[in-house]
Amino acid sequence: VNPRAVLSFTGLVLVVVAAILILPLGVAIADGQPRAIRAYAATAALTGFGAVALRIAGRRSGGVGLHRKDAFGVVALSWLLLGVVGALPLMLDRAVPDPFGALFEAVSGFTTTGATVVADVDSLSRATNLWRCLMHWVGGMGIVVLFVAVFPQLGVGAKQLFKAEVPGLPSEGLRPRIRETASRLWWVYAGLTALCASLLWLEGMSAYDAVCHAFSTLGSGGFSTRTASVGAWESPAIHWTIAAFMLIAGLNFGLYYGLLRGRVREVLRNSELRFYLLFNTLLVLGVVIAIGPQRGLGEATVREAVFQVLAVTTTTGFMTADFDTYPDGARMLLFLAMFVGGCAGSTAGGLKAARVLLLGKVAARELRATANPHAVIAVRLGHAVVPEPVLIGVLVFVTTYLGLFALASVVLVAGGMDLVSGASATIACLSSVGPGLGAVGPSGNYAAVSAFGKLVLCFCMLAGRLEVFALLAIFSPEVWRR
Amino acid sequence: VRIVIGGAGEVGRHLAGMLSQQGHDVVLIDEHADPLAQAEEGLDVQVLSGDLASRRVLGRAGVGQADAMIAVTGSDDANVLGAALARSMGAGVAVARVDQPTFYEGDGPAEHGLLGIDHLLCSTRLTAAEILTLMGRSEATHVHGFCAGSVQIALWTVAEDHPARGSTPHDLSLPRRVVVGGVARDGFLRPPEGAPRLEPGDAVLLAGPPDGVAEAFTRLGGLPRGRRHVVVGGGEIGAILADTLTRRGQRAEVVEPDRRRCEALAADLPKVSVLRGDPTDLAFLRDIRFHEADSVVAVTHQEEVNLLTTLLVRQLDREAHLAVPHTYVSVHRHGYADLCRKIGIEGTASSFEVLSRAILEAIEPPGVVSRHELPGLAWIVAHLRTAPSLRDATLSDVSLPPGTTVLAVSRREQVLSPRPSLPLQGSDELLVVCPPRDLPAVERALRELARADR
Repeated sequence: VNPRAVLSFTGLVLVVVAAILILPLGVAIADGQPRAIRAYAATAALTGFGAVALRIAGRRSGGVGLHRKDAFGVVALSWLLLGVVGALPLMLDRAVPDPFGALFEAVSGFTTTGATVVADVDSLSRATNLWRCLMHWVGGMGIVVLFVAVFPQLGVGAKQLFKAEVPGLPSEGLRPRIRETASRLWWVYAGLTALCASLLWLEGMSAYDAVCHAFSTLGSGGFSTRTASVGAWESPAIHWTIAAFMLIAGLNFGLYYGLLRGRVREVLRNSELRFYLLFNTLLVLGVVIAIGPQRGLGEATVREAVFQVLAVTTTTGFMTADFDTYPDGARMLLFLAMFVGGCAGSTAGGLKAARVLLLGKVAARELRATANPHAVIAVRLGHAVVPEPVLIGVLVFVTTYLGLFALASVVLVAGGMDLVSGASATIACLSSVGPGLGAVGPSGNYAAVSAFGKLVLCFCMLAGRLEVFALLAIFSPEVWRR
Repeated sequence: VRIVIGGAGEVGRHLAGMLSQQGHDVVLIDEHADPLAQAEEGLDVQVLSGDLASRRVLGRAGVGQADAMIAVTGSDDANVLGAALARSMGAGVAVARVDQPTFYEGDGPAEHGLLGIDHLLCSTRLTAAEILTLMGRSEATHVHGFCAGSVQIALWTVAEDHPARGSTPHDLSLPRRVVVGGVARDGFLRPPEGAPRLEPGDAVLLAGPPDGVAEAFTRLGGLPRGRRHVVVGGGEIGAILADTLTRRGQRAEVVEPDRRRCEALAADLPKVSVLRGDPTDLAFLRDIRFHEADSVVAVTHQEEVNLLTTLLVRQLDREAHLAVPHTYVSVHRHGYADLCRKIGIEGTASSFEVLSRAILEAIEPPGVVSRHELPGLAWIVAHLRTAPSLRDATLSDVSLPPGTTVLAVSRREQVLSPRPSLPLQGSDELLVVCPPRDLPAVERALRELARADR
């Protein structure tokens, strides 16, 4: 690792964050709330100062492109600093006075988890609520990707950064230049957000709520401006719109780029997309069957099931109903769906549909191999053959993910949480869903979790968002060796 | 006629010998002295040492005055470059051997027209096509391939209880591009127009691209789908065979010992089962139920493995008291084909022979390229080539003698159905069925067409 280069690039990332902080600051000024103005102005100033300090500390870094190891360093350090920068205004605005709670809330924001420690969201200032949703939006596509899109002088280092932050399997780039890929992804992302916000506004939300919810939806986050989440609005149109955009956020963004270029058939034949849609349809069916007897089979029941299922599988975590009150069968389904998450290349978390699909295919191949030990069988995703190293990568990823889940949930349960709450809190954070079951369910929050437990969950959220290895890499001596 | 051959390997020397015996002046070019010395010893040809891709060497060989240039070295690059250079220097016809399969990827066949080379021939593809033709013989009364395997003719005999009995040949449900060339009854071939209603024992002459003919047999009920074919050897020939068989609705398994080759095959051919193992290992063969296959095709690079597996399958069948599957092998060296036929292998395709034959046909002047007798009939199928200068003519302009039928027109490996309005071009290949005595008249008709045109 070249520490100077890491510091210098991280400084640039902070410049972007400082610029973004101007948005909630503007809202605070418009609302004339001195405490919020002070909080956001101070954070923006501190972040700018930090950026300058890091640039100075990292000067004479040689000006050469980033090495692979450095990219991991930049991404990991950026995300750790993001937590602190995000937490600062929450504390200063007295939204979450407890530093651990504030850190948890900020990490939950940037990792698009949407797990909150705030019991009464309605009482927060408008600036803070915007900031919470804005963290989702920026974290969804990736702060470093935004930074790659904005700064042209990165060169090859940009590719390393991009790879370290964008979730999913290795794929072919959309454009010859990584900067173009990054900026197109952001344009698609911003365009969809604008579309979602205008639809919500037309359907009766206030402009402010529409923008906040659009940020939160496209980032697959889950923070809302209301304590009752989307359930606070009783308009079916709003529920359906948000459900649709949650699904959009849970699909591979490369597909939209393909659609824009007219490759409709190719997109429709995408096997991960098909698998993900099938998976969601089956889950909706399961939930409808479970809750149908109580509520009757009407549009309201189907809408509720679709919304809750998509909120979980796209790892957004909005809700219009308390799924923790569902029959155990439905709760179990939703709990397991938390592991799967969304598609590769989306803003959603989780293992990713492509990995789960590949896992199934590898298992099917093993089954065929027992019957016919001499057969050589290629595993395919669509028409493309998945190379053996990628398959091994998937197996290792899934194993590590489950290992992390096991370890963190044991720690939480040993620390005093009950079994259901501890296990579901862990996976809800690891997969960036947000609400879990039991004490951390849709009607509860994470405020009661101990400070140590919050740190463990912060680690889970970061590990899940950075696809485990980008974060774990900084704990590896290999990376630090020159 | 002056012919320049690049490459004094087995194929080059064999062709040089044949062509010089036919009375042509042959110049043989090779980089290496040893094969040239061998050729000098036994053949009445001029030898020239040097690089095929060099203008100077080609100039010394006199390609400018040559009627044909044949590039058959072991290197695709040298062959393509040499043939293209020779063509640009004025050689009449240029033929290059290209074995790299990537040359043939994509939709349009690259055999013609690349860099002015008239024919690009691939021995593995030719061998695979030959084996597929041979495999067709187990279903049809008779099958034969023309034009480097791109066109096939077949005789289909109407069975006693076949539903097509009593209908005319036009009522048969045939794939597009497959045509009926006539109905054979009592040793006499009736043209398709005005052919009688079909009776059991009649043989219908079909012609078209090989896939089309195979599909026709499937539809006519002669060839059941889903038969199990085991291809031993996952080289290029094996891959083409397995791919073609699965496309035709058959089951294909490829046996290949090399792990990486197996993985490549499994990646390229999703519908083919790839089995990794040693095809000479009896335990392995038992394990994969080798002897229960409907046919076994041995196409490895090693002659002894090909022979051994076909013998082993019989051994296994004798143990299990099963009927022996159809066996086919490819052989690579000159003279081995006869040996295989002697030990009772059903079909033997010699890559050496099919390549030589295709090259000799490619350099034939316009007129009759080859003729093929139909068994039990006094009719022949002739392969003719139009003059290179021919243009602005249609098939109906050819004044054929009565009783002759055009079966197919092949252009750049594409088979065209012989409708009367089909425009004819230079160097088109025509398949004509006629009585032998009418062949000179057919040839004359084609020649006059080219002349009238001018």
